[in-house]
Amino acid sequence: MIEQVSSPRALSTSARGVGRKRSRMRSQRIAGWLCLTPFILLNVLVILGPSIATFYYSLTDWNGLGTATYIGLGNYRELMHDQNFRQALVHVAIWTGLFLTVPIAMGLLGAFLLSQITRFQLLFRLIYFIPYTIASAVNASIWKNIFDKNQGMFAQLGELGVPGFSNFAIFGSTDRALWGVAWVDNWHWWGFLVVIFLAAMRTIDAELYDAVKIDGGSRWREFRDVTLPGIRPTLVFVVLLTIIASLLVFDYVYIITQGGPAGATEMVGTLLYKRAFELFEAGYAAAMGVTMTIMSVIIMVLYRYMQRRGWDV
Amino acid sequence: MCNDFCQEIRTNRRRLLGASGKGILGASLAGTFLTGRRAPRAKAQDAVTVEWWVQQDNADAPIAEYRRTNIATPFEEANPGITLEIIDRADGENFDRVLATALQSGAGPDIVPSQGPAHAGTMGKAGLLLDLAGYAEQYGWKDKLLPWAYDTGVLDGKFYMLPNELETTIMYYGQKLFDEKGWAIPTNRTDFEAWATDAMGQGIIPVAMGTGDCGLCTNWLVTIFFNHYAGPDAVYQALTGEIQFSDPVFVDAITLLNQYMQAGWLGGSVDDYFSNSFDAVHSQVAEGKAAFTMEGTWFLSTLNSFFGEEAGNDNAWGWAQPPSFRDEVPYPLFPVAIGSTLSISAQSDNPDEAAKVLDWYYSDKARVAQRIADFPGPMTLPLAFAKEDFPATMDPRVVDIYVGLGNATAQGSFGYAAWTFWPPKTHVYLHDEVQKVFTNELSPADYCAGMAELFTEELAAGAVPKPIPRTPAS
Repeated sequence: MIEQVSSPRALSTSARGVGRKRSRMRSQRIAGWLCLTPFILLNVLVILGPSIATFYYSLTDWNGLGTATYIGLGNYRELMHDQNFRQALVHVAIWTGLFLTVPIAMGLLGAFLLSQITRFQLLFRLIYFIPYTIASAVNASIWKNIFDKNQGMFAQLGELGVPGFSNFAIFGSTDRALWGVAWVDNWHWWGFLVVIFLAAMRTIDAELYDAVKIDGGSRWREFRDVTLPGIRPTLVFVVLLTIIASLLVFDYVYIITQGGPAGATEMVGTLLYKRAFELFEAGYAAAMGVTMTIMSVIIMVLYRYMQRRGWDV
Repeated sequence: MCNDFCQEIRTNRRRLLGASGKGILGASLAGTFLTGRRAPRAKAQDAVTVEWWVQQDNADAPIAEYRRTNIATPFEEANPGITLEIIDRADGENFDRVLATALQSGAGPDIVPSQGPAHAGTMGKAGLLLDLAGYAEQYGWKDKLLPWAYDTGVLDGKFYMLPNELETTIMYYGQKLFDEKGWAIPTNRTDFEAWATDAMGQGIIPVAMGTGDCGLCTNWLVTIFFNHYAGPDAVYQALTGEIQFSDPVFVDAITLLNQYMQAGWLGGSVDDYFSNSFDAVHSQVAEGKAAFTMEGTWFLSTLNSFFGEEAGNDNAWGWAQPPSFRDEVPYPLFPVAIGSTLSISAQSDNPDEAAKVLDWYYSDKARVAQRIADFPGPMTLPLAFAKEDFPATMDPRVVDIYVGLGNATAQGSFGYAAWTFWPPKTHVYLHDEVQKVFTNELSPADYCAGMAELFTEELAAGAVPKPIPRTPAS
């Protein structure tokens, strides 16, 4: 290789060019930070600040109104022996298991079937998606009426003589209440998943399906060998979203059963709310919140770990 | 005990659906602190404004308009320098949380409502409420209220709240069914059990009950069985720490309650009890499917939706006291409750004017009686009423209840409602954990032991409201 010696002018021009480029980059960086600053400040104000405060209060005996007294890890120690918290964690685990299977399976099936049709697809997408857009209080009230023990759907079936439905309670039964609330939540949730999965399925190369067809593969094989691998990142994202949302579940449970009857639908979210605002144990509730946050962080870390290990998620 | 939110539920389920939908939409659009609705009234020049928050999910409800025209307007006419803003807050069950947040941030109303002495006491101890002792002396509030009522507002020697809503629990029934069956009102355990067995045998639920709309309303039953089985003396001793809630007399009370629950006498079955909405319960009694329902006096304000001309039937309602479930317990007995309180915010810029509003609200007995006649329940102040204090047009059954309730405290025939005299943590335990007794996950003895443990802690922390002494105050 022949070394070329640049003239001083060329060097100077080049240096000026580099300087201008650096200056422009610096200006762009500053502009970027300036644009971000309001959002960073907003985040510090509404997320970081309250998060730090929550962590601090979790180390205190505080009723949510007066002065907080520092008690170290006392709340966390109490949490480990709290039967109601343990029961709530079990319910959250059941809920998570349920939402990792039923709505995701329904969403995948719905999206796959919709991807096979062109006529009325938009209409079906709309129909599936509508429950997701309705306020949870309205959804819950509708289903409370449908499942009403005295005048609801099952009461009418019972009156018609359908066996097993006379005196059939959903939300008032300790055995069925959790499943009943999960049904309502699922009813509003699965349509959202259909739309998400359908959008992901549209990105799959149609030639892959053609290849399966040429091989004489069935629809099931298309789904298993093309669709599922093709939407894997979306699927993993939905799984992650479901787990975190399940840890935080609150609205439907609180509106429909308030955690009852007899604690049969108590979730960590509803228990936390009661401890903070009914029992005036805000410090203890903060410890519950921090514990749930730690669990969410662990899941996020696992997800990042999988990504870094080269998993296509 | 029953706030506006639950009144709304009981009034009409369909209306609730619409109201909750509107409420949620309104809340999401307007934001937490913008949901209060002010009456569009002209303000006097340079007038001092006193804000009074009211939990009112439906600002178009007749009672909301009534408050504006029958409280705010006449007060302002009588006090030209003061504007009274009664603000309807559509925060639903979040009302307490929103109120506490507002007070802590130095905002919020001048006149602060609460759901009872225990709740107001917590706010008072946190420094959010003014000690009203000076105003009480200035305006002579102690003499205006029923003798015991003033003391329910005292915590740690400070007078934080004026009792606002005098309540009791009674049994309501449909006269038609009792006439048809020739039944007499059971007044003791023997009669009640014989009658309930007979009623169940005829396919009639003895006492319609349900917590489908309100889980915490199980505290009604515990209140009734503690008072009408264990007795008011035992309850008083427990509330003052002389005996424990683990005492066998309370264990027996809960055991009896659970026996009745398992027998289906309270709601039909355990599942029914957990399922029944207020509408279902009230309809069962009005339609003769159930004989009684045990509920508080707040039901008086919506009773006509189920009985008589307004409800489209010819069934009249009647009322009675729950039976004495143990020979040693007197009959009749009125468990006394304060369903809400009024205080002045420690951050108020106009505490003198706010105190003037409170004094006006409590002072004129005829005006208070008229309010009770117009809206029985939510505006019943604990004043000493005689029959002649009430308007002649008032339903005589309602007059009897309120006169009887007032007299009960003077005669010693009163008990203690859980939502007034229990401290916050023990109260939540009381209504949450008793459900586990009904599902056989917890024994009555363990339930009472747990209550005793919590109560002892709260008693030591000074969180227990002062119970009415057994010897009537002179």
